[in-house]
Amino acid sequence: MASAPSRTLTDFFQPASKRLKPTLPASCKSDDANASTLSVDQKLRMEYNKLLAKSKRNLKLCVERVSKSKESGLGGVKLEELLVEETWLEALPGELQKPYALTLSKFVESEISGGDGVIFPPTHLIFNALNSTPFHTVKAVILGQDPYHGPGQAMGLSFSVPEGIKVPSSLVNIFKELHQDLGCSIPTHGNLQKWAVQGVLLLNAVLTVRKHQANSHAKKGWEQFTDVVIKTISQKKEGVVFLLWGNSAREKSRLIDARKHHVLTAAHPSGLSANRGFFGCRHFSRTNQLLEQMGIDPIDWQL
Amino acid sequence: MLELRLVQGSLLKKVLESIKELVNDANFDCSSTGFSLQAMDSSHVALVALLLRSEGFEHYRCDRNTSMGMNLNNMAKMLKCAGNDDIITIKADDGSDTVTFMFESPTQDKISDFEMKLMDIDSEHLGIPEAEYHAIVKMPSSEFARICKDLSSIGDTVVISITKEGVKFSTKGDIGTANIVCRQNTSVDKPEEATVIEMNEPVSLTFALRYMNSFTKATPLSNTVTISLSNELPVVVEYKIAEMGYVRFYLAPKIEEDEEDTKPQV
Repeated sequence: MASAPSRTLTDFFQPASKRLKPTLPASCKSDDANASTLSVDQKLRMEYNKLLAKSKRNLKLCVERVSKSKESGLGGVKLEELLVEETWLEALPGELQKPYALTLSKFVESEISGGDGVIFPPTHLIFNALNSTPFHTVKAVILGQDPYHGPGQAMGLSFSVPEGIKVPSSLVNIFKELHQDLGCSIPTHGNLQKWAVQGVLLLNAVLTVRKHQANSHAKKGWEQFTDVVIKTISQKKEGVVFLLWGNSAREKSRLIDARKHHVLTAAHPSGLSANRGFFGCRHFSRTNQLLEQMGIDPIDWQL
Repeated sequence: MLELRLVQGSLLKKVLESIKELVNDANFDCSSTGFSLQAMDSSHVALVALLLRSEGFEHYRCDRNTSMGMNLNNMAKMLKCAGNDDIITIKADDGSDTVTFMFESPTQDKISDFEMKLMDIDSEHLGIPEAEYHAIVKMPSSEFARICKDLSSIGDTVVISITKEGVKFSTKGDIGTANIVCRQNTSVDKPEEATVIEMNEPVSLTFALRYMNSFTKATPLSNTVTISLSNELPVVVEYKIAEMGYVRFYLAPKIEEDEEDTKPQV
């Protein structure tokens, strides 16, 4: 019955030099330099793994709640039960119990009751952006519009698709810009969870969509909720970098206090507009420069 | 050429008994400073670091830094053939694929030599940074062994919590819960019977008991054990080896009580 611990020592200690036979003695100087470098890497890796474990736990909790409500045969799980990250519940007290949110919740529940696969993302992933990036870890925000509407694409993180799913053209363009900007290699998949865990909030303005009907859940109340999320970040935090791509995202800058935060704007990475101001925007390196100026660890954008 | 002569041969016997349950094969590294070993268990959750300083040997000759891969079970079998009072000499020629253990009885009337094949072990060596710990507990090693044994009959994991009140060991299982608190206790006749707690910051960490029990196999090496903890870092359980070194065990903490089994990925 004993479960193995879920962490190993290689999460804490870095490999030292490969063993030689016979081993040549290392100089004290290189030992010291090595030790201090390892310490920094060690801390970063520790923090990342801790946050990754937390996001997995949040996901598991959502899955449990969804399956429990299905078993009970009652109506679908309420929206408020799907936001499980405590730091966001503290930052947004009572938000999902407000009248507009209850109306939104009823709407989403009735849409979901039309059957599995009609609404994206899957129910347990609706709040994945918040459940994967705790409030206190938010360093940057990338605002999308609404989830991908093809089967299997949406995973609750803006612009992101699970491994194994074809990378959508907007994301292809994002990777092209990232390559041009920071020299990152183009990944074989489009899962951006690694960004989310590091503190990049991948938020869509509208968190659900009907299959094959882009923006079909607009103006049902999601915008009011996500505006509150953005305003809360702006009011309660400092030094967050907002990456606003496209007109819809840019309009949200009215919610952000630009005296406290950094707002980067560009055209949308969609194929229709990427050449008119997204390519060449260098938002990834600029984000990291801003973070480093503030003494915050930069984002490792390489997937 | 390598030649190490240890008058108190029983120390080496005890060392092997204390680590062979945790690690199957390991590289022994010899340099001018001493005889050392670092090895992880197969799941990479626990690590043992051994150091026997060169000054502790009656005779220590090490012409070149060298590394010898050994199966610890086989090595323990060889060392079992040495009497508790025997002098043990370890010998190996440069580039040789065998190591020789020589056992001399105190009166020199019986001399044995055993030759063991060495292995090629490709193991990862971890850099363990010097850490400043939030809390350090020094207590009788037999007491610690008893605590781990008692708690493992109740549950699978132990929560070690250190506050200014003392150190608390807690577990829970199907049949119930158990808590053992040791308060600081320095006013005893013998120093090795004291429990000393240094705390900069309260600590609470969860560990798998079966590893802790493995570590306590080192109890015969030392009257006292030192347990060093920092939140979010591996615990260090250290047994001194007479005046010549130490054996240290590192164990990764469990993240949370109900954490899923998946391994974090980077």
